[in-house]
Amino acid sequence: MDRMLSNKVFIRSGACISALGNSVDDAWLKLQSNTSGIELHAEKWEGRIKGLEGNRFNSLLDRILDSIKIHEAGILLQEDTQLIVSTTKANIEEMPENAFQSMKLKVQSVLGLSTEPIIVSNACISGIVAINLAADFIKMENCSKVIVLGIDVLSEFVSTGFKALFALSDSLCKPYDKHRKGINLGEAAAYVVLSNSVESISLSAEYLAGASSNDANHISGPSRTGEGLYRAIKKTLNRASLHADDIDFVQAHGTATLYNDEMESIAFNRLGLTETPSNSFKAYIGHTLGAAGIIETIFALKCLEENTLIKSLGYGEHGLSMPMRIVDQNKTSQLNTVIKSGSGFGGGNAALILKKKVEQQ
Amino acid sequence: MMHFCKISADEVWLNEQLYFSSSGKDVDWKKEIYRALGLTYPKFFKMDDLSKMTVLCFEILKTKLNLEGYEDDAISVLLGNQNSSLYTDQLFADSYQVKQQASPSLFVYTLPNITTGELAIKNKFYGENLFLIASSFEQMPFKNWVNKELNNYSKACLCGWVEKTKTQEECFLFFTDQLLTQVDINVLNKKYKDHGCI
Repeated sequence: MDRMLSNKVFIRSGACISALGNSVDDAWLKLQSNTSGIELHAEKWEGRIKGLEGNRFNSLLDRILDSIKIHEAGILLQEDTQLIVSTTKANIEEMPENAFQSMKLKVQSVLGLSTEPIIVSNACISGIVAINLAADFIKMENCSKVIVLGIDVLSEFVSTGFKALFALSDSLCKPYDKHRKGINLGEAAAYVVLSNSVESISLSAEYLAGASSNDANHISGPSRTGEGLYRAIKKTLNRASLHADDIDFVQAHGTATLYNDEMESIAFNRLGLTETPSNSFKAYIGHTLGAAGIIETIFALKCLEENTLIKSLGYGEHGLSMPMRIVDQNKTSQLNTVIKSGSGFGGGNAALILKKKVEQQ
Repeated sequence: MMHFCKISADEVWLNEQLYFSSSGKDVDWKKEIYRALGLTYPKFFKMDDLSKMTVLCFEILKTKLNLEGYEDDAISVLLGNQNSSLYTDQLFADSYQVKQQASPSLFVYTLPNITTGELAIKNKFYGENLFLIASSFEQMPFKNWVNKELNNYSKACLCGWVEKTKTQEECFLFFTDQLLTQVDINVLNKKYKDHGCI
């Protein structure tokens, strides 16, 4: 098992729209100054995107599709380009209509795709799983380029649900901190491009491997032993022929719920990653659900390119049973290899490893 | 080796055979199958209908399989449907809009991949799992996905389609340890349609 696929896969950032602004550069400026985009709005701390009018989902989808259409025109012309969308709830406000159907038709018609996009809906690991799926399709030579789009918006539906679960924090969220009280919700649209060839564009890295694993334990609570996350990262390392020591940085999930962050610390401890610098971006943009794996991968790519570790905002006092090296201030550091990981409802866990291209090291 | 099972309100088909016919007497046909199978799994009664159908369908499919030789992460799971968890989404929305009391137990089922999670819990599957939203069964990328899994990562794949709307309830699963060809896909599409309940 785990015979290595031999074809190389490269990944680069596209656009990202979030509470940190409308571009990767906007977001990076805010990350560098440790500025959160989360604000108090109607008694909820949320990472809201400015200027979304009418139906938030349609408004955001229009904006990101415009961006893809303009910046990826060449790729869209290639017949075998595949599009994968990662979302948990799509346009849930359209209920009782099928929220995914109208999204799919719009994506297909605006981008002029000959086949329908593949839609991944795997809760909070959707984005990572979608990138892994894209990479596997390229390695298997099913296609040469894949655009992976992640999108989810704030909605009454989702915030009411998390509130009913007592999972929302009543202040800025504090991933990995002793006083963390839950999540802040966020919204984002972001895309990455995976390719079988190196493109002469910056913000690009080699995608080495990815994997997912189920806890097989509980549908809405993480495993106490971190079993699924442990397995997902272990498999990813094995598939990349790497060891924990080879990893420079873990861009972790860090939702700031008591159980998730604790579970991550246990899994990372089992993996020998306690000394590896780790962070969460959730206190900057909130938990963006189906978009999280995509936009956080974009931020991780930027960290690699800039050789910069970004402070895990909200972290002050260590609040986990196992040690973790949480990045407590921005720091310049030679970064070549990063793990992006995530966990979510349904017991899902997923990870991927990116490596800086040789000429950049 | 490839096996199929399709369950719906009227009938259960296992490969070429009619495995079970509903008496039509039970308020919920899924409970009738649960009892007919002699299952003791109280969690079943808390599940949403997507999960109930998937778990039952695989229990029946398992009668054709010998899973003892597989490691706990050697079976990859891919499920899909057209309407995600829309049926439960509506129930949850009703809980806070109509009944003014948001139900956390409904909310946790407002994601389609909870179904793969329930399947994993029942069967102790620690492997890869994926849930896709597609226009139809025929649009699911079964061939590319099964082949990349079997070529690289796993020993067998459990795949299928599970749909629940106000007017439709069905689950079709297939289990394969062989790479799929276009001929296999044509067979699958036919099997799905032959015992379709649309």
